[in-house]
Amino acid sequence: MAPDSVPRYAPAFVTTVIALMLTSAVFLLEPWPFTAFRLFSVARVDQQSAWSATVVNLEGEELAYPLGGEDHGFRGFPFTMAEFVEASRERQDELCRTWVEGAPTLIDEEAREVRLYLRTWRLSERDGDRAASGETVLRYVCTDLGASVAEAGSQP
Amino acid sequence: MSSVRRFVFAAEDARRLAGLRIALFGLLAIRLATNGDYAQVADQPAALFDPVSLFHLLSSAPSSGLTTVIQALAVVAALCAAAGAYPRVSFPTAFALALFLGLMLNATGKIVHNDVLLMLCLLPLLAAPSAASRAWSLKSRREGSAAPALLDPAYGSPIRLAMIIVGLAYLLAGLQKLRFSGLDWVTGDNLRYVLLSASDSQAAPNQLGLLIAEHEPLFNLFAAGALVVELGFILCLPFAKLRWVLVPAAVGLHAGIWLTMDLDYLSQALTVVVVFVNWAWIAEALRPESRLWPPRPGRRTPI
Repeated sequence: MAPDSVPRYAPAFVTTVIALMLTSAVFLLEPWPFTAFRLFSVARVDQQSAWSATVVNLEGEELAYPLGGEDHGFRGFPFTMAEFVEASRERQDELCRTWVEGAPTLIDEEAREVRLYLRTWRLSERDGDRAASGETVLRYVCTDLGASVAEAGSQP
Repeated sequence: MSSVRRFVFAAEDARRLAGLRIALFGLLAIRLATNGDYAQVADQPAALFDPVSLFHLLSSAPSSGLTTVIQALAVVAALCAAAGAYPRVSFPTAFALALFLGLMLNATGKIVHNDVLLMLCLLPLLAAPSAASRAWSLKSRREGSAAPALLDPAYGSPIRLAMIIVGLAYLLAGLQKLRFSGLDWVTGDNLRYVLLSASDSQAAPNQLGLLIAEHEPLFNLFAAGALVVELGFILCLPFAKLRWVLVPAAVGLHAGIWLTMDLDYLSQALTVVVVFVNWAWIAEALRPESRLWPPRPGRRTPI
């Protein structure tokens, strides 16, 4: 059997693949698996912030709510929160209802409300091998009706 | 431009391309079979569905039942592709199903890079299913055409394009760091904070990461090393001897990330090794009777 020959489309294919990689990077596009390759590209700073959630169940107990964990598609919580703070009122309500309705699935508890806390801390301030806890403030409260902004200064 | 063309369309051994096919599709099959994340993101609530790329065509995440079927079919297709069985069908099927599953993971708000390089390096094989199945395949065995020692640009171009993809991936990752952070990425406290943050997010403090983070020249040196590897890796395309340094350096970079930050880039590290290893040379080293005779031009080194 004769060896294969280089297909006529091969040069165009090579050019297209390289062009797609370069274009995605230059214009910060993410047509996965092509990507902008922005891995750790923004320098990390000392000041950090992160969102966490709790559930208030029907008995009024406040329980940890592992949004951002690995289960049932809720893992994008940190990224969804970046959208949430900038989102329209309707979108905030939609996300809030989703998190309230997700409680029975994730922690086997009906939720009267979901509380969203913002923690801020400095990586350089250490408590042994861990970062010092910083400050945690309640920012939003979710119910099955939607989102509301928490009263200033509420602590967990 | 002509030097690029000469590089891409250089003659390579059919067995080297076959080795690339077996290893990349084999790695894909293992990744697909062992990744439990697909089931975790199936049935994602519609409000949280945040698609990228082709998933914009869908209105919500696939169900867990559909995901399980697709995952099983993808593993079978990837194994068939690795074996060189029905390559014109198995190659695109395995890629398309893996793409679907990959897009599921990317629909949760974060771009997942772990398998990007593997997926991109499969593209050259998709364009050359016949050439990639010329040696060491069920197809060649069935057709009685197992010519183990063919040298031709048809076998070289997919390998060389995969090399370019790997080189560009590292180069672009390095350039984006300079673009968004400048030299501060190396000279500032960036890597210190990255390591502290990574350690804090692990169940137990990462003592290696903390050791580096607490010594100023050390984290700057590691940051510089990482950037040099990323920016310099592409040099091993024109200067083949640099592969002996840069391939282990890239693997070391991913090993370091795994040890200090607990981030699994094993798929990417293996892809780099698979693309740059000369599988024909390995075969000849193991079975000297399989050497080409008379000797023909082409690279006769392990990588």
